[in-house]
Amino acid sequence: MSDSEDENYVTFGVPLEPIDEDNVPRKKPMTIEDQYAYDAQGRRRFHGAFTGGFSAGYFNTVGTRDGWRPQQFKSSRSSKAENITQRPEDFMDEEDTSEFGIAPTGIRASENYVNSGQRGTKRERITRDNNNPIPGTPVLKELLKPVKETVGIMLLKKMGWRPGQGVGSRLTKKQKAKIKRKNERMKDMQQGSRKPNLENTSEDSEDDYENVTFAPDDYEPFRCNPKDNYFGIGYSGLDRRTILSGHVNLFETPAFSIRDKNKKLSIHGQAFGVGAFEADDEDIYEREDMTRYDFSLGPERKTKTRWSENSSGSRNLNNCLEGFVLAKNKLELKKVFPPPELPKNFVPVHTIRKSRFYPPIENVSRSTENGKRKNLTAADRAKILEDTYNTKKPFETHPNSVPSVASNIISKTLNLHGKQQTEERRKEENQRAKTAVSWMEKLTAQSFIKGGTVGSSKDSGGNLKKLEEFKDSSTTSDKQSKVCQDNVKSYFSDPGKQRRFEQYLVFVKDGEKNKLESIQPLSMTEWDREHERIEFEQAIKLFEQPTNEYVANKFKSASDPSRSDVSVQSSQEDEIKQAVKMKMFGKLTRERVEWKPASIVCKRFNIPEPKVGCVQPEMQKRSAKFSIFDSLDWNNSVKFLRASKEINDVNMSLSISENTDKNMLDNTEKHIIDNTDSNVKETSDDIFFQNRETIELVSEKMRNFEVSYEKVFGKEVSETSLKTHSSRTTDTEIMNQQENQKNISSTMKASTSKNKSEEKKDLFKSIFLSSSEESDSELNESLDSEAVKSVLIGKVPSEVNVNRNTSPPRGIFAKVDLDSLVNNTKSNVQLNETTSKEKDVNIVNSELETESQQDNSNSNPSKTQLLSNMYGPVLPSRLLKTESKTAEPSSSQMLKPVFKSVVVPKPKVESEMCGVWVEREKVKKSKKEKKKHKHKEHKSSKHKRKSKKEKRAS
Amino acid sequence: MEIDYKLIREIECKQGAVRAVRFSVDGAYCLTCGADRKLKLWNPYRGVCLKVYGGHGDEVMDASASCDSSQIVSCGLDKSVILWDVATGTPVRRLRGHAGPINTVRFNEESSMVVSGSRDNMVMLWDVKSKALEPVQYLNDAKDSVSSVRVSDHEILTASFDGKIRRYDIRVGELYTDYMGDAVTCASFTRDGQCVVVSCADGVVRLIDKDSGELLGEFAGHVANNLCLESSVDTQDTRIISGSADGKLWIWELVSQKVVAKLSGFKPTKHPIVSLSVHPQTNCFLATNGPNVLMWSTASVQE
Repeated sequence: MSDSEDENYVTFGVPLEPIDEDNVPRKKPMTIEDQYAYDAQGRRRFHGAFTGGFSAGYFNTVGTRDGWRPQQFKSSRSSKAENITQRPEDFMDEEDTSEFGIAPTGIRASENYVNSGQRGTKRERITRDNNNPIPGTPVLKELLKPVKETVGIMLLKKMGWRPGQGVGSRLTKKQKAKIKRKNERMKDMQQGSRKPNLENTSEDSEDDYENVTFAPDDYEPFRCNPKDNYFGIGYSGLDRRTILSGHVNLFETPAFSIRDKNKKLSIHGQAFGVGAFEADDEDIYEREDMTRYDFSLGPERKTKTRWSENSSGSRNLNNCLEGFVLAKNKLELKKVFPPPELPKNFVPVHTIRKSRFYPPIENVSRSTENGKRKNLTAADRAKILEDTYNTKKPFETHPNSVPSVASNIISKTLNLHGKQQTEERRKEENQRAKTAVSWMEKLTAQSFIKGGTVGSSKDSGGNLKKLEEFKDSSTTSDKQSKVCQDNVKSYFSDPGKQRRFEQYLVFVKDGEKNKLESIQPLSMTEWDREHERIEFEQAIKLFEQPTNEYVANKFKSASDPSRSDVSVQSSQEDEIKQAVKMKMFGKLTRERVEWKPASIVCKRFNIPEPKVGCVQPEMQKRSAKFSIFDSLDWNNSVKFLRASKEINDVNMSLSISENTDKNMLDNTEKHIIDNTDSNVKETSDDIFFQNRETIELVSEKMRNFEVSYEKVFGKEVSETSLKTHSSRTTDTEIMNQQENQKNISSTMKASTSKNKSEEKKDLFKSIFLSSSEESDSELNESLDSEAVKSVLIGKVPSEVNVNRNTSPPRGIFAKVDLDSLVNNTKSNVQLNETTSKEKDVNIVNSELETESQQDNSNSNPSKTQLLSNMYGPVLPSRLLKTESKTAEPSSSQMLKPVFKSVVVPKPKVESEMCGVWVEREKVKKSKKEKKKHKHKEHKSSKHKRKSKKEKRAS
Repeated sequence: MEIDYKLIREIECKQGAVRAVRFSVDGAYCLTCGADRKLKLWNPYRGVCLKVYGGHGDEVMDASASCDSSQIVSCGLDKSVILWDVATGTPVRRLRGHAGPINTVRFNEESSMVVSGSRDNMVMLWDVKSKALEPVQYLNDAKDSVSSVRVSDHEILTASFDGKIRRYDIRVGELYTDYMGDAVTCASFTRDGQCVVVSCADGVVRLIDKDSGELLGEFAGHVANNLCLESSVDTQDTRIISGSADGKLWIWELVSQKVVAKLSGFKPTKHPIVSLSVHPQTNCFLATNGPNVLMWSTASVQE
């Protein structure tokens, strides 16, 4: 079958091989991503978008698998990124820019050089002139191509216009001339009369050709030059060019032309030399130059130049710029009001204060007296700057030697020039002095004592000599006043004021206070006058005091260890040096100070922070303020020590100074001690009050302390103490008695000197606090704070404040004779003290205390016996009892007349405070005794136990 | 025990006067501070300069290498402390804060802090771990220029021209001030950390007990000539070494206080030996002598 079939068919060609079913070459359909575009050379093409194809690289994206790669910006120090600007070529293939691409590149003539006549034709056909000897297009034709013409000109040309002709219908010659004239006129109007009239030269020609028409003249456009500068219209600046560098235009319009019977004669060009028609000119070769002008002010120098003449001439004509016309109605001027006039006697015064608690700095404000600034001295500046002014006084160089007359004179001259510190200023400085160095130096300077002392004949002699040297119009009459004035002299740095003050002293002496006005300069205002008068009065008050003694005792040689810190320090330094010399290194040369490393430092050193949470004691010390009353306080206590060598005073002052010392200590201690000790502190606080009342000194420091105390321990502490207070009273009462005893006895002894100090204090108050409401308010403030405090503690504020305003303690002392009390309480120590003049005060005090302590044991409180007729604080009951037995002793009566000022009755609620005082004292004492007097160990331990008990109670 | 010191090498640093030479912490390298405002890193054993660090605006006064030798801190008359990266030679940080030329600078043990002492009487502590450009603490107790600063694990020892050495004990939180009688040009701890070697301007090197401040020994004889001489102890704490104006390195026996040796260079010089450095492990000394650095070492091993 098959064969027959084969036979039946005729096969042509070679049969295909049978398909292998297993491995059929499956034709994969071409995916889009595989459709790469290649160029003629087989390179991958970009994408061919411009030439019809579309292939965008990998999966029809460009570049990477991820598609379009965003353009990267990468810039480093080594390879700075360049500013990339994209061009269309970036997105083209090479073929696109080839000859037949869409943007063929090649060198071609730019539009300007393309023959404009052939514009429009597709491509220039190269016409070959085979006739020429040189085949091809003529070279010259290639080179010289016409410049580009505008479309308008091209159109015109097509319409038959030719360059050089005007536009319009043809005209006869006459018409043409007429139009030309019209044009000329217009031109003239436009350009002013600068250009001389061009003569119509065609006029002279014959009018033959009537029929002949001409093309109209080309319209010559006149051009307004666009303004390309910021000058005013019509301004042309001076030419800086010199004559030789300048371009001389030879084809300018003729400089000179005349007309002579229809013929114009003109002189063209510029000639050198002076022309026949020109006036003799100085500067024929020169042009105007800036250098020839005077730019400085002064008497006007006429520069005779053509330019200036011209300009001035034209200016004068119509008084306005060329091309401008004067306005018919003027602009309204703005009305300016003048500033108000100051009154003639106006003096700008500004009083400077450090704060409202300080009195205004007088001298500073005075320095601008009469509206004129005076030369400030170094002292003044220091005062303004609140600096500690360290004038090196001549006698300071010899602190231990008695100053000679010469040195006095020198100091006096310095004083006259306002260079020496005034007494007043010194006091002010003391309060500010942070380092006590300069202050201590002053203290050690003995010359102060000498200078002010009246009593010693030697010194007064010295003063006399001084006065002879520096006599001031013989305002002094007797020696006393002279010395007084000598002291006065240092009160005002302003010499004029000083003079007035001296004069005023004389007036006061004569009882003619009102004369002050007559010597005050007229330039002073009423207010100034009044102020000065008050000032003088206060100063006089101060001087009526026994200043000599005061001043003399204010400064003392550094013998008291409590305030000879500097000398001690210096001596220590000496010691150290000595030790180094002796090679005794160790304890002497070593100094240990607290130091707090920063927390980060500890962290970096891998060390736990030492003393975490501890308060830095130094910081708080620094924050404590100093005031003038500090020094007052100190000096008073010292003063008594110095003023009289009597042992009574010594005792008194020492007890006071001790107290104050303790208070000072407390001040600093307070901050360190924990609140758990608040009870003890409370007592010390009360002591504080007590102390103040006994010592009768208002000290700023104390007030500060009170405030700081309240701040530190707050309300609640005082309240808790209030609670405990009652429980304590029994304990404290006993102590009160003992302490009262001591205090009173001491105050009694010192009453005379104290009285003086009291008055001085008042004076200082009046000086520093007077005439300013601020100080009053300050007082009130302090009163308020005290009132709050007293409420908390349980006291009547008035009783706390009494001693501040007036001097009530005098009242106490006036009534109460405590000397006798002490005697009656069998405290023989007192007597011993008075008799034995050189006893250690510490021992005395401690003995006193212990003795009185013994006394306390047998005392029974029986109050209110004398209360009805007594002033002042309530005395301890036991004392009162004893007092009742004793009659008023003679000593108290002797003391009484010493008090000069008014005795103010005082409310009688003092016992509690007294008690607290005792408590504090006791604690302190016990500590001291422990060290020094071991034989009294048992007693002091008793004290300690007591104090501990109190602590527990709180 | 007899130790013989032998001059091993004299390196000409070619950077002007060498103000200071310092061993690195491991003793493998040394740093020289030049008057030409350059700081150089050397291999002193081969006398090869490894790297030059330029960036100071004035003479480099002192330098200190960090414990891992990755950083160098240097100071100079340009009032700036520069922290360098050793490898790249670029300044990592430039610490400005001192008001005067800086005399001395030190890393602490962990190289996390830098302590610098300046002629403005100030010692400043810089935290180089953080990026702070301000000092973390000032030590302004000195009343005159700070001449040297040393840092132990918990102490900072400063010497000042006011004649005092101050030891700030961070652990205790106290400052111990010892008065030396004359300006102190250098104060350094002994190796055991119990004593302080103090060079005074009066030409005496004093050994001070650290805890009590007592004088343990005085070493004199060398010429001070008002130079800011440095002193140190040797590695075994047995000898005191000090520079001298006569161009010799003076070595005293610590116990007997007698001069053991006066080491000098190959040729006599007119330059003083001011700065010196002792190898942390072996008895190898480096000292500056004008433009050169001299290197001595023990020739014989001690018995």
